[in-house]
Amino acid sequence: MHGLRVLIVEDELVIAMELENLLRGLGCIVLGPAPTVRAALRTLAAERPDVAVLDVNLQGERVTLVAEALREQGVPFVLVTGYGSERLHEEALQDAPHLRKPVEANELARALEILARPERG
Amino acid sequence: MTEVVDTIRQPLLILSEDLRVRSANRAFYEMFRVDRAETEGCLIYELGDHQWDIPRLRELLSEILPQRRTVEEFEVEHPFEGIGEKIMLLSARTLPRAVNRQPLILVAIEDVTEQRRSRWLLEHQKELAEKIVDTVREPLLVLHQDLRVQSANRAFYDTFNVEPAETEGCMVFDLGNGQWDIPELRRLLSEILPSNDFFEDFEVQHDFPTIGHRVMLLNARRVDHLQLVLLAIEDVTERRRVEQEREMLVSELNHRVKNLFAVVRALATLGDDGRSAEEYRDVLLARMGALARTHDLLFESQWRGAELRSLAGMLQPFAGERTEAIDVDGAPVELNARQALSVGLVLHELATNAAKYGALSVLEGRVHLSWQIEDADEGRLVRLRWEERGGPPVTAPQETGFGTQLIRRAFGFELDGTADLAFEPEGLRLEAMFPLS
Repeated sequence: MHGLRVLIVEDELVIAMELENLLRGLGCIVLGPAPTVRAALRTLAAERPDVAVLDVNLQGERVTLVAEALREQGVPFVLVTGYGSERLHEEALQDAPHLRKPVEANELARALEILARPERG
Repeated sequence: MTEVVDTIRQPLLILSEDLRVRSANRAFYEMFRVDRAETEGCLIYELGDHQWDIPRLRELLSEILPQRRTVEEFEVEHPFEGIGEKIMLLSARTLPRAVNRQPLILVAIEDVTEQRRSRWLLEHQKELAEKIVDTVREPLLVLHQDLRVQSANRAFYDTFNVEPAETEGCMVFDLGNGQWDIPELRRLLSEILPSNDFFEDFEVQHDFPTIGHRVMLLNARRVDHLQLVLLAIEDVTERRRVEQEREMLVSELNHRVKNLFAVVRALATLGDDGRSAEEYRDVLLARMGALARTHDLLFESQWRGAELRSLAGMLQPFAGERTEAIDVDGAPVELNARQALSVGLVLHELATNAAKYGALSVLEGRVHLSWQIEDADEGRLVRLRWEERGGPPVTAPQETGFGTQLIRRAFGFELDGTADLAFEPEGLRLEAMFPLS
């Protein structure tokens, strides 16, 4: 996990700060955090993360476009959902691990660890 | 002759010219439950309990019959002894005979009691049905089997704002601006209905003439014996809108509650900043308090937003008895929920810092909180300023302090704006700007 470059996409500052803290505590390098799809795509254009943490709902917008861009770049991601029984019907959001808010620290760490493993490419 | 007459199912009487019964057929004896003895030879007016002794019948048989030769369908309504209330139609004619033979009169009696009763019932049922159709609050169309409108109820004319003239006789698919001319509905009415007898809850969403966009549910039922089709239409537009709104509200609520938990938890894990457990707890509780009070403002407006002045008002406790210590100056401006929550937290951090290390920590200190609304190309902006004066000499803050980070980042991160936090020797100064919509 050390030196792992993690992109955070989350629209609530306080929650983003918590994720930052958590990830930095694990030795990760934090990219972003980006509060909107536009900001996230801008960050991705400039830097390539190893993994990403995506809040599914960003100020009313779905994070789908970011997920698509990440897939294109071969960057795995974990989704964070706020709704209880949220339907992730978009293609780009399928087959990704997802966690519910509020996210448990060790849950997130574990999910990222799995995603970051070499065999996942 | 007797055999022929006896085969006829209709009661028959043969009278002599003087209107006495020469003979009657079996059907007569059976219907009236009398026998030959009490019938033959009697005057027709004397039969039974004189049920045929009616002035009008006398008139017909005695006067008109000799000239006209036939009496058709003379109605007699009478409670007959032993057989009850009956309605009979009498037909009488003179039988031609050979010259030297006495003329005979043939009287045929038709029992139309059941017929009349059925017709009466039908009439009343029809009237009842029509009244029901008209009283029902839902628009109803009564169609012939060929799907032409036979009639519509008042509710239909009221709902669709049309007249009978443009409705009755028309094909259902031609009504209005063709709103019912939908392939699926055509199929249902023309194909399914004949074999399936009814269908329910067929939805039609359409821009109806005059009344605009509505969502309607249709129920249809075949009424075979009348060769009609009943079509009931329910306007569920309002209901749908309310349901959708409610769903959205519940969704929104779920989202907010989940987020709130996450925010509170985040606040709890952040900002310990090397404090003692007790101090940390107090700081955390204070932050949660600010969050709660901001939510109170939002509840009051049903989540529409909060006045910036009201958010500033939440800071009064920090000024304590020196109410003039926090000077608030700015025009009324309503922030949306997101903006209110962000700014609420930021103001809380600013005031907390001021009370601990800044202007509000000494008697002479003052905080000037002011804002202006500016018009820019993209819309309106809020320009906010927090200025501390008269406090203790300002030293460089804990750069990594949660509060300071929040103040610096909130406007850019959450509100699509900018913030400049300066620790000037005279006092801390924040200048922030964010778009209103």
